[in-house]
Amino acid sequence: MMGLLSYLVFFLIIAAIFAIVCLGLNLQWGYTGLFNIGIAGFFSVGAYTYAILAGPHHAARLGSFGVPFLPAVALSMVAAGLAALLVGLPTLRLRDDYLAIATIGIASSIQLVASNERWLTGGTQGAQNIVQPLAGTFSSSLQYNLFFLAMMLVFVAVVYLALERMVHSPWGRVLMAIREDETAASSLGKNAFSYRLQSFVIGSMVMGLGGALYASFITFISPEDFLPVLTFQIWAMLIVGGSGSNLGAIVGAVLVWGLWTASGSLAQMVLPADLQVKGGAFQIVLIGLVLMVVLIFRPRGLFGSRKALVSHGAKTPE
Amino acid sequence: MFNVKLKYAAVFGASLGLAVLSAPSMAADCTVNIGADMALTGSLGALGQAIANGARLAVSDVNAGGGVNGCKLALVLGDDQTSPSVGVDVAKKLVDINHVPAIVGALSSGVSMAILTSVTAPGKVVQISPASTSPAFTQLAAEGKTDGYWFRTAPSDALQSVAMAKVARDAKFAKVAVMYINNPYGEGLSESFGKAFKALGGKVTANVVYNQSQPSYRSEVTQAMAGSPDALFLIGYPGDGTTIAREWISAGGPQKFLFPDGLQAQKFVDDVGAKYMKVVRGTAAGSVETPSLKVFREEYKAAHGSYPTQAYMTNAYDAVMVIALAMEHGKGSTGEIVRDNIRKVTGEEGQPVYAGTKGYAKAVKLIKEGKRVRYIGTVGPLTFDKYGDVTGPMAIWTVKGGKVTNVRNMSVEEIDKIAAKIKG
Repeated sequence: MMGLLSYLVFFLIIAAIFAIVCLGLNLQWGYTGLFNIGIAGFFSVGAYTYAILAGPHHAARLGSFGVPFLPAVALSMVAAGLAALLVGLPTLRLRDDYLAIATIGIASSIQLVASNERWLTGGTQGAQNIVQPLAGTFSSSLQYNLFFLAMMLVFVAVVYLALERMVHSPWGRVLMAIREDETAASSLGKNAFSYRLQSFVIGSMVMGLGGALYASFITFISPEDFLPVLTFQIWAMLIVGGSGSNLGAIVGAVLVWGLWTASGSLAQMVLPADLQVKGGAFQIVLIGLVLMVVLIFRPRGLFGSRKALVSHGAKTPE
Repeated sequence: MFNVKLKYAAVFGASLGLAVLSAPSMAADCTVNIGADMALTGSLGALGQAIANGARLAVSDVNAGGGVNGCKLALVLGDDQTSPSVGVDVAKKLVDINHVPAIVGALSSGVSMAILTSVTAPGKVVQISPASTSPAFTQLAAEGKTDGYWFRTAPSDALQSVAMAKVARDAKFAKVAVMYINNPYGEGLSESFGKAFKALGGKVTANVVYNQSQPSYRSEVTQAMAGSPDALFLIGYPGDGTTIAREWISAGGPQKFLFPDGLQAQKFVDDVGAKYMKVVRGTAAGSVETPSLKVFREEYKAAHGSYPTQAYMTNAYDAVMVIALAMEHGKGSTGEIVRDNIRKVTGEEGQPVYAGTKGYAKAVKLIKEGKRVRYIGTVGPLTFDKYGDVTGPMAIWTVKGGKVTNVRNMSVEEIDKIAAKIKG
């Protein structure tokens, strides 16, 4: 029983981290229609910035600023925001597919920089011994994980409420207008580029927050944590949960991460002994199958409403 | 009436008792779980499946040889998809839900490190990796962050670099260009080779890193050729390694090569072209040809039909074996017992015991008699130092007549002597 509880706590912490990243993507795609396939890049900027700021002294790389937890997390968000600004300024004038390709390139470039710039990130050896907040305070790792989970829930709630406020405001309505019909929005005098940039930067800052929390929990990051499969996972979470819904982003994150991990256990239970080593392939088939089924039967995801309403309660024709 | 019933009951009870007692090698209703967290898919998936089979073979040998403390040993296998976040989740499940005292895994150093820092060390669970060779683990253990729960049955690349440096000097190479793959394996090996080679009087003219899966490495090769080296030390795996070797040859680089364990593959030599592979020196984790290796090879072939030439299956087998023997010796199966007993069933003292069903059964018998045993692994004699690292002989190989051939083994003593010379 304790074991199951301990595992569930751990699982929820990781799911919560992904939920935060998914909320960031929801702002960019769900509300503004920005096709960002570079999620892993901004996530890694947040994670590495936290590692550099909060980590202990390391002979081979930059580090040991010993910045305390909350300021380090805030600065990681700022770094991710800056990265988004640098990326967004030249590319946000592109539409849809072109932005997507540009962001794929950016994420790969960031990952390669992380792999190669050993003085900055520890290269492929990664960054170890990252400091956990309140590391020595709890007597057992279960207690520590419960504390971390409580902290994560607070973070998720804060991000959720902040984003909800932002999108149910005039600013949010302009975003949705731009998403639906940019020409119409510009003709009303809204600077579409500026709003998209704001959404992109804020969404990326939220992703950077997720990255910093990930680094502080696992205490070890390496370029392998930031491969394109991570981007795919977050997209799957948003699509299943429903783009355009912040609640959907959170629920989708828990469900898809649950699918990812449960499929492993399922594969192990179902397969006979000699096929056990093929379990990994079976698991991936299962994940793909479930995602496809969801997309066929509920293409908008669980909570999504991409034909979004402009304001609360108003009715628009479908 | 009463007497007859009593007699029946007594006879029944006695025969039941006899039946229970006379089931020695038949494991009772208890099972001891150990975990395996490996890459069955993902970039290391191709290697991982055979490695997992190596571990499973050990489990079946242990069970056929009597199990652990009278219980059946079961391997709970999970796929880490060569991804740290998935690997960590699998490990957490193994520890919390399957209550394993030990995990064999992972393969990739990045995944192993994440599991070690977030699950096994805090969870007081032993982690033995059959394939993670990054020197970063030695450092982490030296800093006291592993609590003694980390072991590995694959030698750190620090050893291979010493052997390679000596081999390079013996082949009269004074200037060597190094090209290495951008991962902990490449970085670690190239760095320690550079130090060792320089200490032995050689010169590394270029140290060029390359990223995987590029269609061409022309610019890296050109960079590496600057400084007119005598030979190329190429660190990587057969896929990209073939591309680089061919581009080196067509760019006019000297056809004298040094290859590490990652390139010890006949297919690699064939793909590059045997006619260019006339002057080749290579190193690889040596396996002193012990009875253990012979038994492993036969059993693996019998179970799976063929014996793939790849590394680390033997290391996984040994990892499971030392866990099982440690549990026998410590008469229990918690993480602490495994940790504290691994060095008591390996090392340099005691009677040698080998792999295989018979070998394991003999080892258990000796342990029950209170004798000191040392397990001679399929990779050779195993001695874990205080950081969980293992030493072993290095195989020196070459290409003769187009075929990858082992020349000799460089023993642990010889390597230690060279290492001392380098340090001093």
